[in-house]
Amino acid sequence: MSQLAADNFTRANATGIGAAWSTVTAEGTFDIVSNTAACHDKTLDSCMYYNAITWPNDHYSEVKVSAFGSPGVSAAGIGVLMRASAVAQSYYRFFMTGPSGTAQLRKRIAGTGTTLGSAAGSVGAADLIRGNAQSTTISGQKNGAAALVSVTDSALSAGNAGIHYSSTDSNVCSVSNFAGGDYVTVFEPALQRVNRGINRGVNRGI
Amino acid sequence: MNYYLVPIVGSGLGADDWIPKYFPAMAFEPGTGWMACDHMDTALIAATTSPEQHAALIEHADVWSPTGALDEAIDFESTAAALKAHHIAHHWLEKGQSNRSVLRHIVAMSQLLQRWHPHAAAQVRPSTRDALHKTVGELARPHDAVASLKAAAQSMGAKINVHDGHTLADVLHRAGQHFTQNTVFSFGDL
Repeated sequence: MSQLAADNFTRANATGIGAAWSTVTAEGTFDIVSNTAACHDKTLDSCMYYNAITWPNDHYSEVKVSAFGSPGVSAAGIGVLMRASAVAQSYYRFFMTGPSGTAQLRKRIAGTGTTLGSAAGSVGAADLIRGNAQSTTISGQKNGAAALVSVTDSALSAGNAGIHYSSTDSNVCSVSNFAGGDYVTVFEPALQRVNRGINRGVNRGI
Repeated sequence: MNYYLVPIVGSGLGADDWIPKYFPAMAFEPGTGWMACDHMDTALIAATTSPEQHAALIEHADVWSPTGALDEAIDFESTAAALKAHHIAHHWLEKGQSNRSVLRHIVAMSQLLQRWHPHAAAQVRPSTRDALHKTVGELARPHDAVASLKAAAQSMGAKINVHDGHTLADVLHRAGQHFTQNTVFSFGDL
């Protein structure tokens, strides 16, 4: 597994979050506010994807929650996008609502949405929310723990990683870090392994 | 972990997601919940329901849950009736099959339907109950059902023979066989 992209949103306040980010068709946007990414219009779902790399089909997307206002308001959530389309309103999204809230995994395909799973779970500032898209396994987790929700779904096979805000009210949610990457295992070169073994033997006096 | 077939409700538009009936309104213990595999207008659900929740769910006429453990043989008559009632192809059911194999086949068939949806560029979900036993050539939409089904299957590495004379149920069954035998997937404990 390796990280392919990151953004800590540390820059001057601005409308939008920079040229490396694009808005998913028909969705709301984020702004830079106090070195975080905060939704521009709190009454809209907001979906932006990182466009500065070509994302592998299998990827993860992770954000660190900076602020989560109005705890307990279940309609609002903060989270990530996986396999977000650059040309259509299509993506997987994993987001969590506040204390006493839920973790939710949903898909939107050409504008139509389906809720794929839900688990009880709270979220607050400094929590890491991560979504995974590996083959047809789509899952979401918090703080590196076991997946809260994991489904088999084949609707989307490729797309971009990004950030997501889900709301129909006036909650304030923001994220301070984004990271995304792949699941490629980096193998230790064979010669390096041999040398390490020899050195261990030398150290033991063999 | 318990398994259920339930209708999918909602419009899918705006904030009104397609959702499996009953489950979004249920309360779960922290870290537990439900997951759905959508099969047109029906969802297969895997959920950590309590005995009380399970009892309440199966009281509903439009909810089915397999009787017996996953590796026990199906109750053939009730399983066939349940799949028929939920607009899922069931002509492939055999006596002696385990609950697990039936549920896995449903998940596998769903893979083609889910991939077909964007390929068809049409909202095919509402039409399932009418479409299942029509031949692919008779399907009113998407207009190019043969091509779009083939494209969906091929995009998942499956070469499935699709002709105008095949029913959608036939195509789904063959896709289910392919994915069950050739791909790795998991859903709950299946």
